[in-house]
Amino acid sequence: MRHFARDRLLSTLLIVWGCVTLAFAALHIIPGNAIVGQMLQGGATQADIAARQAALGLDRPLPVQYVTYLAGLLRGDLGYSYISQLPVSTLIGEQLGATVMLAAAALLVAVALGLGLGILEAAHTGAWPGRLAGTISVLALSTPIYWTGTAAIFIFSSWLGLLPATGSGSIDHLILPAAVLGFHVSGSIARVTRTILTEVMYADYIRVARAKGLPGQYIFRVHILRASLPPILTVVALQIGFLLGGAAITEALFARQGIGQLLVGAVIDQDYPVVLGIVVLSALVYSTISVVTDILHGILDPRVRENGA
Amino acid sequence: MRLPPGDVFVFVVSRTDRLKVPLAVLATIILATTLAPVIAPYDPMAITGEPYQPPTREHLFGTDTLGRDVLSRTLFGGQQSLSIVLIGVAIIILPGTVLGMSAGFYGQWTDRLLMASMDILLAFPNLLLALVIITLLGSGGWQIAIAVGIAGLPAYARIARTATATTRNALYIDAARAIGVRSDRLLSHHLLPNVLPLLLSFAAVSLSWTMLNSAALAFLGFGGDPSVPNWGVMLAEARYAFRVAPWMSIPPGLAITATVMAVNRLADASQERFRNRT
Repeated sequence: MRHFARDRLLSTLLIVWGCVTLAFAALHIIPGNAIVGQMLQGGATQADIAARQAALGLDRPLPVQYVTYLAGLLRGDLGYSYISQLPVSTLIGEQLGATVMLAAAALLVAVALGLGLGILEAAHTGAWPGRLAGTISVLALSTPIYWTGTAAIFIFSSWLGLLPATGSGSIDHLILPAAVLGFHVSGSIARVTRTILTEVMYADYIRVARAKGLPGQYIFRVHILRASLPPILTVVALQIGFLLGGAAITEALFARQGIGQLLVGAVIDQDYPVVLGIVVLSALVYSTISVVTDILHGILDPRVRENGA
Repeated sequence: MRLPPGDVFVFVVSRTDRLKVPLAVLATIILATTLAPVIAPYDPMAITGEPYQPPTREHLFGTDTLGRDVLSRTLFGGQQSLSIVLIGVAIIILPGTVLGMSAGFYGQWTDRLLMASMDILLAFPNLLLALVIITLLGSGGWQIAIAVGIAGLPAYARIARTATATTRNALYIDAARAIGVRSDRLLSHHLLPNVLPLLLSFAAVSLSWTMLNSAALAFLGFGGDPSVPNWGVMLAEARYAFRVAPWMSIPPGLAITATVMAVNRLADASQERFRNRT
């Protein structure tokens, strides 16, 4: 088990390093576009632009910039925004809370709804509750967030006047975005839950449990659910990566503060340091979550650590 | 056993009631889009009446922010939206199949190198990777297609690799190798037909992601010229007009959902057939 955890951590570190390097290289092939454009518009001379680039360290050779960036990263320094000239870590820090709140609330909705739909579907295959659950989960998977979101705004805030359509801050502002994002993510959780449950349901040891006369409810709760939960948890954890992307759309839709809005703004402005900072952060979060769930999965299920190590 | 490509197609399509509905839906969408110049009642770019008109006999789905006909824009919008999806899927499938299958077939350092680079790309959340590429390329239809294509590539390549690696040691491959079939022919004539059903069903899954992601990028405002009709852009416009004209979001949203749902159903059904066969 210790070997398994160590190998997994090591390969994750390599992957994160690869991500940072790739994103850094990609975003530095075309250096300082945003600055030049912005400053030329402001009527700056070539000398001013050169001075500004020198101040940001953009005149140095790329390998030096890369090493400086990595060194800064280890201290939690993500560089400075080209546009606002504030530290990227400050910009991200200001927005992080709102996005984490949204993602956590959406995940809660997604897990509750997804597990429920998936279990219904697997337990009643062919019968109407199973079919209904199946249809809802495909619908959840197929409807774009930006459409369900618009519909939700229209119904709950324009028409019924129950919840605010835009903004952030209070719990009321959180309900609609979290429900919309969570509904979409619940689709994939439901489908994976159903697939895993059906696979386990036809395993030999379940047949044995049935043959020796255990009640169906008991088999489902104790044998089937227990064997299925670890892989389902892994898939749920992987959805967090999707939540980060979905948050960008949800935040734009509901005009909420957050990392997603910061990112979309930075992409429009070609503010490379901010884009890079957010990418590095999300690769780090995503990889950490996947390594933690892998190790947890290994603890919960001995088969994984023997095959996976 | 070796299936010629024609049989694979028949195997996926024939005698499948569950495939009829999604195939009919897709055919209708594609037909309506290609025939848009003939069946659309108005020019999609032309201002044909008052803005924000509710649905009437003249404008079945009402008019938009500028007074353009929503139905015509939806029909024409499919042309850009679906072209983006097709280009994006081509970017996923062509290199993805080659990369994944060679990694799975040759193994060793080819496999390690290719899969390590795919793992790095997979550590970026999908839409985020697409946004990074948009940062580099700028806005526009082509740019969105390339961005969602590259973002979807690693997951597909991984599937192609696993499918090939598990088939590589089958008895019929050994037999073919024993009678002296060369590697490239082994790949294209013996392995490919057998992993094809699985690849097709995952290609369908990739297609549904590509549709959702490309429309999301257009919705976020990276679609380039906003006067060119596009389902994602139309949803963005409808979002700002939801108080005065809530009906504006129905046709483009329905078009995206129907496309994605049909493709998902297609993937499900073909996966099930594949599972039953083995």
